[in-house]
Amino acid sequence: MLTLILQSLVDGILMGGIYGLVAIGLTLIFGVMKIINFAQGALLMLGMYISYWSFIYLGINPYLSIPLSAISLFFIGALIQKTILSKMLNAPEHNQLLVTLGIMLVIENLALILWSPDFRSVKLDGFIQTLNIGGIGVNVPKLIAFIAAIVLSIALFLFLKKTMLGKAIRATSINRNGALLSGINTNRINYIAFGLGASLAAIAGSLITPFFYTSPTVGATFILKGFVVVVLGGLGNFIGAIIGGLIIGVSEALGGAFLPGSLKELMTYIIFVIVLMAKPNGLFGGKAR
Amino acid sequence: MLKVSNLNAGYGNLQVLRNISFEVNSGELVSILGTNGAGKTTLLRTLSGLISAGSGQIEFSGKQIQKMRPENIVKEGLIQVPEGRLLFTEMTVRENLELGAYSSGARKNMNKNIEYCFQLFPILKERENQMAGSFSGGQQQMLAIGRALMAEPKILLLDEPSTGLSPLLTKQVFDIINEIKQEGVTVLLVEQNAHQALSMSDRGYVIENGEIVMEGTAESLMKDNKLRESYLGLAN
Repeated sequence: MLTLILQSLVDGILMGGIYGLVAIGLTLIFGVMKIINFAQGALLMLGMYISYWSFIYLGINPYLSIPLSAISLFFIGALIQKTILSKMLNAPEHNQLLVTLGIMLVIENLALILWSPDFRSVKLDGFIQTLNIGGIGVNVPKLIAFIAAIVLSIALFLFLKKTMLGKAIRATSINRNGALLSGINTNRINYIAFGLGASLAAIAGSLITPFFYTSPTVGATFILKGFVVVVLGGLGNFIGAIIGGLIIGVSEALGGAFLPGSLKELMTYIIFVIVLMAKPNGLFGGKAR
Repeated sequence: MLKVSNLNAGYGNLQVLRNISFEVNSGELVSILGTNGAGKTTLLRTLSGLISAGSGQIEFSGKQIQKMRPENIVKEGLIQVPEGRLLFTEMTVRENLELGAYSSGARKNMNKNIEYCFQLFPILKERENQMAGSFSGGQQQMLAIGRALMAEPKILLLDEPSTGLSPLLTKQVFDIINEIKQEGVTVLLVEQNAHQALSMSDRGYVIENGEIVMEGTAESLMKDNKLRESYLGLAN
Protein backbone atom coordinates (compact mmCIF):
# COMPACT_ATOMS: atom_id res chain seq x y z
CA MET A 1 0.00 0.00 0.00
CA LEU A 2 2.68 2.44 1.06
CA THR A 3 4.77 1.49 -1.95
CA LEU A 4 1.81 2.14 -4.19
CA ILE A 5 1.29 5.60 -2.71
CA LEU A 6 4.97 6.42 -2.94
CA GLN A 7 5.10 5.10 -6.48
CA SER A 8 2.13 7.27 -7.46
CA LEU A 9 3.68 10.27 -5.76
CA VAL A 10 6.91 9.83 -7.71
CA ASP A 11 5.08 9.32 -11.02
CA GLY A 12 2.85 12.30 -10.32
CA ILE A 13 5.63 14.66 -9.39
CA LEU A 14 7.61 13.73 -12.49
CA MET A 15 4.62 14.28 -14.77
CA GLY A 16 3.72 17.43 -12.85
CA GLY A 17 6.97 19.04 -13.92
CA ILE A 18 5.90 18.68 -17.57
CA TYR A 19 2.44 20.10 -16.85
CA GLY A 20 4.19 22.98 -15.13
CA LEU A 21 6.33 23.62 -18.20
CA VAL A 22 3.29 23.72 -20.49
CA ALA A 23 1.54 25.99 -18.02
CA ILE A 24 4.48 28.40 -17.77
CA GLY A 25 4.26 28.98 -21.50
CA LEU A 26 0.54 29.69 -21.21
CA THR A 27 1.08 32.00 -18.27
CA LEU A 28 3.85 33.93 -20.01
CA ILE A 29 1.69 34.54 -23.07
CA PHE A 30 -1.31 35.47 -20.96
CA GLY A 31 0.73 37.77 -18.75
CA VAL A 32 2.14 39.80 -21.61
CA MET A 33 -0.71 39.79 -24.12
CA LYS A 34 -3.77 38.88 -22.03
CA ILE A 35 -4.49 36.22 -24.64
CA ILE A 36 -5.49 32.71 -23.69
CA ASN A 37 -3.60 30.54 -26.10
CA PHE A 38 -5.61 27.46 -27.02
CA ALA A 39 -2.97 26.52 -29.58
CA GLN A 40 -0.39 25.77 -26.86
CA GLY A 41 -1.16 22.03 -27.03
CA ALA A 42 -0.86 22.02 -30.82
CA LEU A 43 2.52 23.74 -30.55
CA LEU A 44 3.60 21.05 -28.09
CA MET A 45 2.49 18.45 -30.65
CA LEU A 46 4.65 20.11 -33.32
CA GLY A 47 7.61 19.92 -30.95
CA MET A 48 6.92 16.20 -30.49
CA TYR A 49 6.84 15.59 -34.24
CA ILE A 50 10.07 17.51 -34.78
CA SER A 51 11.76 15.21 -32.29
CA TYR A 52 9.99 12.14 -33.66
CA TRP A 53 10.94 12.74 -37.30
CA SER A 54 14.48 13.76 -36.35
CA PHE A 55 14.74 10.39 -34.62
CA ILE A 56 13.20 8.38 -37.45
CA TYR A 57 14.97 9.98 -40.38
CA LEU A 58 18.19 11.29 -38.90
CA GLY A 59 18.59 8.98 -35.94
CA ILE A 60 18.90 11.93 -33.59
CA ASN A 61 18.14 11.17 -29.96
CA PRO A 62 15.03 13.19 -28.93
CA TYR A 63 16.97 14.91 -26.19
CA LEU A 64 19.45 16.20 -28.76
CA SER A 65 16.73 17.56 -31.03
CA ILE A 66 15.39 19.79 -28.25
CA PRO A 67 17.28 22.88 -29.50
CA LEU A 68 15.92 22.28 -33.00
CA SER A 69 12.34 22.00 -31.81
CA ALA A 70 12.72 24.94 -29.39
CA ILE A 71 14.15 27.27 -32.01
CA SER A 72 11.74 26.20 -34.78
CA LEU A 73 8.74 26.74 -32.56
CA PHE A 74 10.08 30.07 -31.33
CA PHE A 75 9.94 31.32 -34.89
CA ILE A 76 6.61 29.65 -35.65
CA GLY A 77 5.22 31.28 -32.51
CA ALA A 78 6.61 34.69 -33.38
CA LEU A 79 5.20 34.31 -36.89
CA ILE A 80 1.74 33.43 -35.58
CA GLN A 81 1.92 36.50 -33.36
CA LYS A 82 3.10 38.75 -36.15
CA THR A 83 0.70 37.62 -38.85
CA ILE A 84 -2.47 36.80 -36.93
CA LEU A 85 -2.58 37.73 -33.26
CA SER A 86 -1.08 41.20 -33.61
CA LYS A 87 -4.21 42.13 -35.53
CA MET A 88 -6.36 40.86 -32.67
CA LEU A 89 -4.71 42.52 -29.69
CA ASN A 90 -7.43 45.11 -29.24
CA ALA A 91 -10.29 42.78 -30.07
CA PRO A 92 -12.71 41.53 -27.41
CA GLU A 93 -11.37 38.61 -25.39
CA HIS A 94 -13.81 36.02 -26.70
CA ASN A 95 -12.74 36.82 -30.26
CA GLN A 96 -9.08 36.35 -29.35
CA LEU A 97 -10.01 33.06 -27.78
CA LEU A 98 -11.73 31.92 -30.96
CA VAL A 99 -8.70 32.88 -33.01
CA THR A 100 -6.29 30.82 -30.94
CA LEU A 101 -8.81 27.97 -31.01
CA GLY A 102 -8.88 28.31 -34.80
CA ILE A 103 -5.08 28.23 -34.98
CA MET A 104 -5.15 25.05 -32.91
CA LEU A 105 -7.65 23.40 -35.27
CA VAL A 106 -5.66 24.36 -38.33
CA ILE A 107 -2.38 23.04 -36.93
CA GLU A 108 -3.93 19.80 -35.68
CA ASN A 109 -5.74 19.09 -38.93
CA LEU A 110 -2.68 19.89 -40.99
CA ALA A 111 -0.84 17.37 -38.87
CA LEU A 112 -3.61 14.82 -39.44
CA ILE A 113 -3.35 15.29 -43.20
CA LEU A 114 0.42 15.26 -43.30
CA TRP A 115 1.21 12.60 -40.76
CA SER A 116 -2.02 10.54 -40.39
CA PRO A 117 -3.74 9.98 -37.05
CA ASP A 118 -1.42 7.07 -36.17
CA PHE A 119 0.03 6.89 -32.71
CA ARG A 120 3.78 6.73 -33.00
CA SER A 121 6.47 6.17 -30.46
CA VAL A 122 10.21 6.45 -30.21
CA LYS A 123 12.10 3.37 -29.03
CA LEU A 124 15.38 4.30 -27.47
CA ASP A 125 17.70 1.28 -27.49
CA GLY A 126 20.38 0.73 -24.90
CA PHE A 127 18.75 3.21 -22.59
CA ILE A 128 17.94 2.36 -18.98
CA GLN A 129 14.19 2.78 -18.75
CA THR A 130 13.66 2.37 -15.04
CA LEU A 131 15.73 2.92 -11.94
CA ASN A 132 14.76 0.94 -8.88
CA ILE A 133 15.10 2.99 -5.74
CA GLY A 134 14.01 1.17 -2.59
CA GLY A 135 11.31 -0.76 -4.40
CA ILE A 136 10.00 2.26 -6.22
CA GLY A 137 10.46 2.38 -9.96
CA VAL A 138 11.59 5.71 -11.33
CA ASN A 139 10.99 6.05 -15.06
CA VAL A 140 14.23 7.53 -16.40
CA PRO A 141 12.83 9.51 -19.37
CA LYS A 142 10.23 11.01 -17.04
CA LEU A 143 12.95 11.86 -14.54
CA ILE A 144 14.98 13.57 -17.24
CA ALA A 145 11.91 15.48 -18.41
CA PHE A 146 11.17 16.54 -14.86
CA ILE A 147 14.69 17.76 -14.16
CA ALA A 148 14.80 19.59 -17.48
CA ALA A 149 11.44 21.22 -16.73
CA ILE A 150 12.64 22.46 -13.35
CA VAL A 151 15.97 23.71 -14.71
CA LEU A 152 14.20 25.47 -17.55
CA SER A 153 11.71 27.11 -15.21
CA ILE A 154 14.51 28.42 -13.03
CA ALA A 155 16.39 29.68 -16.09
CA LEU A 156 13.30 31.46 -17.36
CA PHE A 157 12.67 32.95 -13.93
CA LEU A 158 16.22 34.31 -13.79
CA PHE A 159 15.92 35.62 -17.35
CA LEU A 160 12.79 37.57 -16.40
CA LYS A 161 14.32 38.83 -13.15
CA LYS A 162 17.85 39.70 -14.18
CA THR A 163 18.07 40.70 -17.83
CA MET A 164 16.90 43.97 -19.36
CA LEU A 165 14.84 42.08 -21.94
CA GLY A 166 13.23 39.98 -19.21
CA LYS A 167 12.42 43.08 -17.20
CA ALA A 168 10.94 44.68 -20.30
CA ILE A 169 8.69 41.62 -20.75
CA ARG A 170 7.49 41.93 -17.15
CA ALA A 171 7.05 45.69 -17.52
CA THR A 172 4.94 45.22 -20.63
CA SER A 173 2.74 42.71 -18.83
CA ILE A 174 2.23 45.13 -15.93
CA ASN A 175 1.62 48.34 -17.86
CA ARG A 176 1.74 48.39 -21.65
CA ASN A 177 1.51 52.20 -22.06
CA GLY A 178 4.04 52.73 -19.31
CA ALA A 179 6.36 50.39 -21.21
CA LEU A 180 5.80 52.24 -24.49
CA LEU A 181 6.59 55.57 -22.82
CA SER A 182 9.80 54.05 -21.42
CA GLY A 183 10.95 53.31 -24.95
CA ILE A 184 10.11 49.59 -24.95
CA ASN A 185 9.04 48.24 -28.33
CA THR A 186 6.02 46.34 -27.06
CA ASN A 187 5.29 44.76 -30.45
CA ARG A 188 8.68 43.14 -30.31
CA ILE A 189 8.01 42.04 -26.73
CA ASN A 190 4.82 40.36 -27.99
CA TYR A 191 6.74 38.35 -30.59
CA ILE A 192 9.32 37.34 -28.06
CA ALA A 193 6.74 36.37 -25.44
CA PHE A 194 4.67 34.31 -27.86
CA GLY A 195 7.81 32.80 -29.35
CA LEU A 196 9.10 31.85 -25.90
CA GLY A 197 5.71 30.43 -24.93
CA ALA A 198 5.66 28.30 -28.09
CA SER A 199 9.25 27.30 -27.47
CA LEU A 200 8.43 26.09 -23.96
CA ALA A 201 5.58 24.00 -25.34
CA ALA A 202 7.93 22.53 -27.95
CA ILE A 203 10.56 21.67 -25.36
CA ALA A 204 7.90 19.98 -23.25
CA GLY A 205 6.87 18.07 -26.38
CA SER A 206 10.39 16.91 -27.16
CA LEU A 207 10.97 15.90 -23.56
CA ILE A 208 7.92 13.61 -23.50
CA THR A 209 8.55 12.04 -26.91
CA PRO A 210 10.57 9.16 -25.38
CA PHE A 211 7.66 8.03 -23.16
CA PHE A 212 4.49 9.43 -24.68
CA TYR A 213 2.70 8.54 -27.90
CA THR A 214 3.12 11.12 -30.63
CA SER A 215 -0.08 11.88 -32.53
CA PRO A 216 -1.75 14.93 -34.07
CA THR A 217 -4.29 15.20 -31.25
CA VAL A 218 -1.90 14.66 -28.34
CA GLY A 219 -2.04 18.38 -27.54
CA ALA A 220 -5.58 18.16 -26.20
CA THR A 221 -4.41 16.09 -23.21
CA PHE A 222 -1.93 18.75 -22.25
CA ILE A 223 -3.81 21.91 -23.05
CA LEU A 224 -6.66 21.00 -20.70
CA LYS A 225 -4.23 20.13 -17.91
CA GLY A 226 -2.27 23.26 -18.73
CA PHE A 227 -5.32 25.46 -18.23
CA VAL A 228 -6.25 23.75 -14.99
CA VAL A 229 -2.69 24.22 -13.75
CA VAL A 230 -2.56 27.86 -14.75
CA VAL A 231 -5.86 28.69 -13.10
CA LEU A 232 -4.96 26.66 -10.03
CA GLY A 233 -1.66 28.46 -9.60
CA GLY A 234 -3.03 31.91 -10.40
CA LEU A 235 -2.97 33.36 -13.91
CA GLY A 236 0.31 35.01 -14.74
CA ASN A 237 2.16 33.45 -11.83
CA PHE A 238 5.29 31.38 -12.57
CA ILE A 239 5.83 29.70 -9.23
CA GLY A 240 2.11 29.01 -9.13
CA ALA A 241 2.34 27.26 -12.49
CA ILE A 242 5.04 24.88 -11.26
CA ILE A 243 3.33 24.11 -7.95
CA GLY A 244 -0.01 23.79 -9.74
CA GLY A 245 1.63 21.37 -12.17
CA LEU A 246 2.91 19.23 -9.33
CA ILE A 247 -0.48 19.20 -7.60
CA ILE A 248 -2.26 18.15 -10.78
CA GLY A 249 0.40 15.54 -11.58
CA VAL A 250 0.22 13.97 -8.13
CA SER A 251 -3.56 14.04 -7.84
CA GLU A 252 -3.84 12.44 -11.26
CA ALA A 253 -1.38 9.69 -10.38
CA LEU A 254 -3.06 8.98 -7.04
CA GLY A 255 -6.45 9.01 -8.75
CA GLY A 256 -5.11 6.55 -11.30
CA ALA A 257 -3.89 4.26 -8.56
CA PHE A 258 -6.96 4.22 -6.35
CA LEU A 259 -9.96 4.99 -8.51
CA PRO A 260 -11.42 2.92 -11.33
CA GLY A 261 -9.92 3.80 -14.70
CA SER A 262 -12.70 5.99 -15.98
CA LEU A 263 -12.71 8.04 -12.79
CA LYS A 264 -9.00 8.60 -12.46
CA GLU A 265 -9.22 12.28 -13.26
CA LEU A 266 -11.99 12.84 -10.75
CA MET A 267 -9.52 13.71 -8.03
CA THR A 268 -7.78 16.30 -10.17
CA TYR A 269 -10.96 18.20 -10.78
CA ILE A 270 -12.27 17.85 -7.25
CA ILE A 271 -9.07 19.47 -6.02
CA PHE A 272 -9.40 22.10 -8.71
CA VAL A 273 -12.95 23.01 -7.66
CA ILE A 274 -12.11 23.04 -3.95
CA VAL A 275 -9.10 25.32 -4.46
CA LEU A 276 -11.11 27.73 -6.57
CA MET A 277 -13.91 27.82 -4.03
CA ALA A 278 -11.42 28.77 -1.33
CA LYS A 279 -9.18 30.98 -3.48
CA PRO A 280 -10.98 32.19 -6.59
CA ASN A 281 -7.81 33.82 -7.95
CA GLY A 282 -5.81 30.64 -7.66
CA LEU A 283 -3.30 29.54 -5.03
CA PHE A 284 -0.81 32.29 -5.77
CA GLY A 285 -3.14 34.71 -7.52
CA GLY A 286 -2.94 38.24 -6.24
CA LYS A 287 -5.79 40.65 -6.20
CA ALA A 288 -8.37 40.36 -8.93
CA ARG A 289 -7.60 42.70 -11.78
CA MET B 1 12.81 72.48 -30.28
CA LEU B 2 9.19 71.26 -30.41
CA LYS B 3 6.87 72.77 -32.96
CA VAL B 4 3.31 71.57 -33.36
CA SER B 5 1.35 72.85 -36.35
CA ASN B 6 -2.37 72.43 -37.05
CA LEU B 7 -2.57 69.18 -35.11
CA ASN B 8 -5.85 67.28 -35.20
CA ALA B 9 -6.29 64.07 -33.23
CA GLY B 10 -8.80 62.04 -31.27
CA TYR B 11 -10.14 58.59 -30.52
CA GLY B 12 -11.81 56.83 -33.43
CA ASN B 13 -14.46 59.14 -34.79
CA LEU B 14 -14.27 61.45 -31.82
CA GLN B 15 -12.11 64.44 -32.59
CA VAL B 16 -10.57 65.90 -29.46
CA LEU B 17 -7.82 68.21 -30.67
CA ARG B 18 -8.60 70.87 -33.26
CA ASN B 19 -5.89 72.72 -35.12
CA ILE B 20 -3.48 72.87 -32.24
CA SER B 21 -0.35 74.91 -32.89
CA PHE B 22 2.29 75.82 -30.37
CA GLU B 23 6.01 75.67 -29.87
CA VAL B 24 8.52 75.14 -27.13
CA ASN B 25 11.99 76.57 -27.55
CA SER B 26 15.13 74.96 -26.24
CA GLY B 27 15.64 75.62 -22.53
CA GLU B 28 12.13 76.95 -21.95
CA LEU B 29 9.53 75.85 -19.46
CA VAL B 30 6.17 76.14 -21.15
CA SER B 31 2.83 75.44 -19.52
CA ILE B 32 -0.36 74.29 -21.16
CA LEU B 33 -3.31 75.10 -18.96
CA GLY B 34 -6.80 73.76 -19.20
CA THR B 35 -9.62 72.21 -17.23
CA ASN B 36 -10.59 68.55 -17.13
CA GLY B 37 -11.58 67.32 -20.55
CA ALA B 38 -9.98 70.21 -22.42
CA GLY B 39 -7.74 67.81 -24.32
CA LYS B 40 -4.48 68.20 -22.40
CA THR B 41 -3.85 64.50 -21.88
CA THR B 42 -4.90 63.69 -25.45
CA LEU B 43 -2.37 66.26 -26.66
CA LEU B 44 0.47 64.67 -24.70
CA ARG B 45 -0.54 61.17 -25.77
CA THR B 46 -0.47 62.31 -29.37
CA LEU B 47 2.95 63.91 -28.95
CA SER B 48 4.29 60.62 -27.55
CA GLY B 49 2.73 58.61 -30.36
CA LEU B 50 0.24 56.67 -28.21
CA ILE B 51 -2.53 58.18 -30.33
CA SER B 52 -1.88 58.75 -34.00
CA ALA B 53 -2.27 62.27 -35.27
CA GLY B 54 -5.13 62.65 -37.74
CA SER B 55 -3.47 65.53 -39.52
CA GLY B 56 -0.95 68.24 -38.83
CA GLN B 57 2.71 68.15 -38.00
CA ILE B 58 4.82 67.58 -34.94
CA GLU B 59 8.41 68.65 -35.46
CA PHE B 60 10.92 67.76 -32.80
CA SER B 61 14.63 68.58 -33.05
CA GLY B 62 14.22 69.13 -36.77
CA LYS B 63 12.44 65.79 -37.39
CA GLN B 64 8.82 65.07 -38.20
CA ILE B 65 7.68 62.68 -35.46
CA GLN B 66 3.92 62.50 -35.97
CA LYS B 67 4.18 59.11 -37.72
CA MET B 68 6.82 57.60 -35.44
CA ARG B 69 6.24 54.69 -33.06
CA PRO B 70 6.23 55.62 -29.35
CA GLU B 71 9.51 53.82 -28.61
CA ASN B 72 11.26 55.74 -31.40
CA ILE B 73 9.91 59.05 -30.12
CA VAL B 74 11.46 58.15 -26.77
CA LYS B 75 14.76 57.49 -28.57
CA GLU B 76 14.59 60.99 -30.05
CA GLY B 77 14.48 62.38 -26.51
CA LEU B 78 10.83 63.36 -26.08
CA ILE B 79 9.92 61.80 -22.76
CA GLN B 80 6.62 61.92 -20.93
CA VAL B 81 5.65 61.58 -17.29
CA PRO B 82 2.11 60.41 -17.98
CA GLU B 83 -1.14 61.02 -16.21
CA GLY B 84 -1.65 58.28 -13.63
CA ARG B 85 2.12 57.70 -13.70
CA LEU B 86 1.80 54.26 -15.34
CA LEU B 87 4.51 52.78 -13.15
CA PHE B 88 5.45 49.11 -13.13
CA THR B 89 3.75 48.57 -9.80
CA GLU B 90 4.83 44.99 -9.21
CA MET B 91 8.48 45.80 -9.83
CA THR B 92 11.01 47.45 -7.56
CA VAL B 93 11.93 51.12 -7.59
CA ARG B 94 15.32 50.30 -9.05
CA GLU B 95 13.78 48.15 -11.80
CA ASN B 96 11.41 50.97 -12.71
CA LEU B 97 14.35 53.33 -13.03
CA GLU B 98 16.38 50.83 -15.05
CA LEU B 99 13.52 50.40 -17.50
CA GLY B 100 13.40 54.16 -17.95
CA ALA B 101 16.82 53.76 -19.56
CA TYR B 102 15.67 50.99 -21.91
CA SER B 103 16.45 52.98 -25.06
CA SER B 104 19.83 52.15 -26.54
CA GLY B 105 21.15 55.69 -26.15
CA ALA B 106 20.35 56.06 -22.47
CA ARG B 107 21.36 52.57 -21.39
CA LYS B 108 25.09 53.16 -21.24
CA ASN B 109 24.66 55.91 -18.63
CA MET B 110 22.13 53.92 -16.60
CA ASN B 111 24.06 53.59 -13.36
CA LYS B 112 25.21 57.19 -13.40
CA ASN B 113 21.67 58.38 -13.99
CA ILE B 114 20.26 56.18 -11.24
CA GLU B 115 22.66 57.90 -8.84
CA TYR B 116 21.44 61.27 -10.15
CA CYS B 117 17.81 60.26 -9.50
CA PHE B 118 18.71 59.11 -6.00
CA GLN B 119 20.32 62.51 -5.38
CA LEU B 120 17.22 64.27 -6.64
CA PHE B 121 14.85 61.99 -4.71
CA PRO B 122 16.61 60.54 -1.65
CA ILE B 123 13.41 58.67 -0.73
CA LEU B 124 13.88 56.50 -3.83
CA LYS B 125 17.30 55.39 -2.66
CA GLU B 126 15.97 54.49 0.76
CA ARG B 127 13.34 52.30 -0.86
CA GLU B 128 15.07 51.12 -3.98
CA ASN B 129 14.10 47.48 -3.42
CA GLN B 130 10.46 48.12 -2.56
CA MET B 131 7.66 47.56 -5.03
CA ALA B 132 6.56 50.74 -6.76
CA GLY B 133 2.92 49.84 -6.07
CA SER B 134 3.46 50.16 -2.32
CA PHE B 135 4.27 53.86 -2.65
CA SER B 136 2.13 56.86 -1.78
CA GLY B 137 0.98 59.20 -4.54
CA GLY B 138 3.79 61.70 -3.99
CA GLN B 139 6.47 59.02 -4.00
CA GLN B 140 4.98 57.48 -7.13
CA GLN B 141 5.11 60.86 -8.83
CA MET B 142 8.77 61.20 -7.88
CA LEU B 143 9.50 57.73 -9.22
CA ALA B 144 7.64 58.53 -12.44
CA ILE B 145 9.72 61.68 -12.90
CA GLY B 146 12.85 59.72 -12.07
CA ARG B 147 11.98 57.02 -14.59
CA ALA B 148 11.48 59.69 -17.26
CA LEU B 149 14.81 61.34 -16.44
CA MET B 150 16.52 57.98 -16.89
CA ALA B 151 15.78 58.27 -20.60
CA GLU B 152 17.91 61.43 -20.78
CA PRO B 153 15.15 63.68 -22.11
CA LYS B 154 15.80 66.61 -24.37
CA ILE B 155 12.27 67.66 -23.58
CA LEU B 156 10.30 66.45 -20.59
CA LEU B 157 6.49 66.38 -20.84
CA LEU B 158 4.66 66.34 -17.52
CA ASP B 159 0.95 65.55 -17.39
CA GLU B 160 -0.54 67.12 -14.27
CA PRO B 161 2.22 66.18 -11.85
CA SER B 162 0.33 67.81 -8.97
CA THR B 163 -2.79 65.65 -9.25
CA GLY B 164 -3.67 64.04 -5.95
CA LEU B 165 -0.78 65.57 -4.07
CA SER B 166 -0.95 67.67 -0.93
CA PRO B 167 0.04 71.34 -1.30
CA LEU B 168 3.37 70.62 0.38
CA LEU B 169 4.16 67.72 -1.95
CA THR B 170 3.00 69.73 -4.95
CA LYS B 171 5.50 72.43 -4.03
CA GLN B 172 8.23 69.81 -3.67
CA VAL B 173 7.44 68.35 -7.09
CA PHE B 174 7.39 71.80 -8.70
CA ASP B 175 10.71 72.65 -7.05
CA ILE B 176 12.17 69.52 -8.59
CA ILE B 177 10.77 70.45 -12.00
CA ASN B 178 12.44 73.83 -11.66
CA GLU B 179 15.70 72.12 -10.75
CA ILE B 180 15.41 69.89 -13.82
CA LYS B 181 14.91 72.96 -15.95
CA GLN B 182 18.00 74.59 -14.43
CA GLU B 183 19.93 71.50 -15.52
CA GLY B 184 19.08 72.48 -19.09
CA VAL B 185 16.15 70.18 -19.82
CA THR B 186 13.33 71.78 -21.80
CA VAL B 187 10.00 71.25 -20.03
CA LEU B 188 6.42 71.16 -21.25
CA LEU B 189 4.10 71.20 -18.27
CA VAL B 190 0.41 70.43 -18.55
CA GLU B 191 -1.56 71.58 -15.52
CA GLN B 192 -4.89 72.60 -14.07
CA ASN B 193 -3.03 74.27 -11.25
CA ALA B 194 -2.57 77.45 -13.30
CA HIS B 195 -1.11 79.74 -10.68
CA GLN B 196 1.67 77.44 -9.59
CA ALA B 197 2.44 76.38 -13.14
CA LEU B 198 2.63 79.91 -14.50
CA SER B 199 4.72 81.17 -11.61
CA MET B 200 7.61 79.01 -12.81
CA SER B 201 6.95 79.08 -16.57
CA ASP B 202 8.44 81.22 -19.29
CA ARG B 203 5.36 81.05 -21.47
CA GLY B 204 1.94 79.49 -21.42
CA TYR B 205 -0.95 78.37 -23.58
CA VAL B 206 -4.56 77.86 -22.57
CA ILE B 207 -6.47 75.01 -24.12
CA GLU B 208 -10.27 74.78 -24.15
CA ASN B 209 -12.38 72.17 -25.93
CA GLY B 210 -9.36 70.97 -27.83
CA GLU B 211 -8.33 74.37 -29.10
CA ILE B 212 -5.67 76.82 -28.04
CA VAL B 213 -7.59 79.90 -26.98
CA MET B 214 -4.89 82.02 -25.40
CA GLU B 215 -1.15 82.27 -25.36
CA GLY B 216 1.52 84.56 -24.04
CA THR B 217 4.32 85.02 -21.58
CA ALA B 218 3.66 83.72 -18.11
CA GLU B 219 3.51 87.29 -16.78
CA SER B 220 0.97 88.48 -19.30
CA LEU B 221 -1.23 85.43 -18.71
CA MET B 222 -1.10 85.96 -14.96
CA LYS B 223 -2.42 89.47 -15.49
CA ASP B 224 -5.10 88.48 -17.99
CA ASN B 225 -8.53 89.11 -16.51
CA LYS B 226 -10.31 86.26 -18.20
CA LEU B 227 -7.70 83.77 -17.11
CA ARG B 228 -7.66 85.21 -13.60
CA GLU B 229 -11.37 84.57 -13.33
CA SER B 230 -11.58 81.16 -14.85
CA TYR B 231 -8.34 79.52 -13.73
CA LEU B 232 -6.80 81.42 -10.92
CA GLY B 233 -10.03 81.92 -9.00
CA LEU B 234 -9.25 85.57 -8.53
CA ALA B 235 -11.87 88.27 -8.94
CA ASN B 236 -10.83 91.53 -10.50
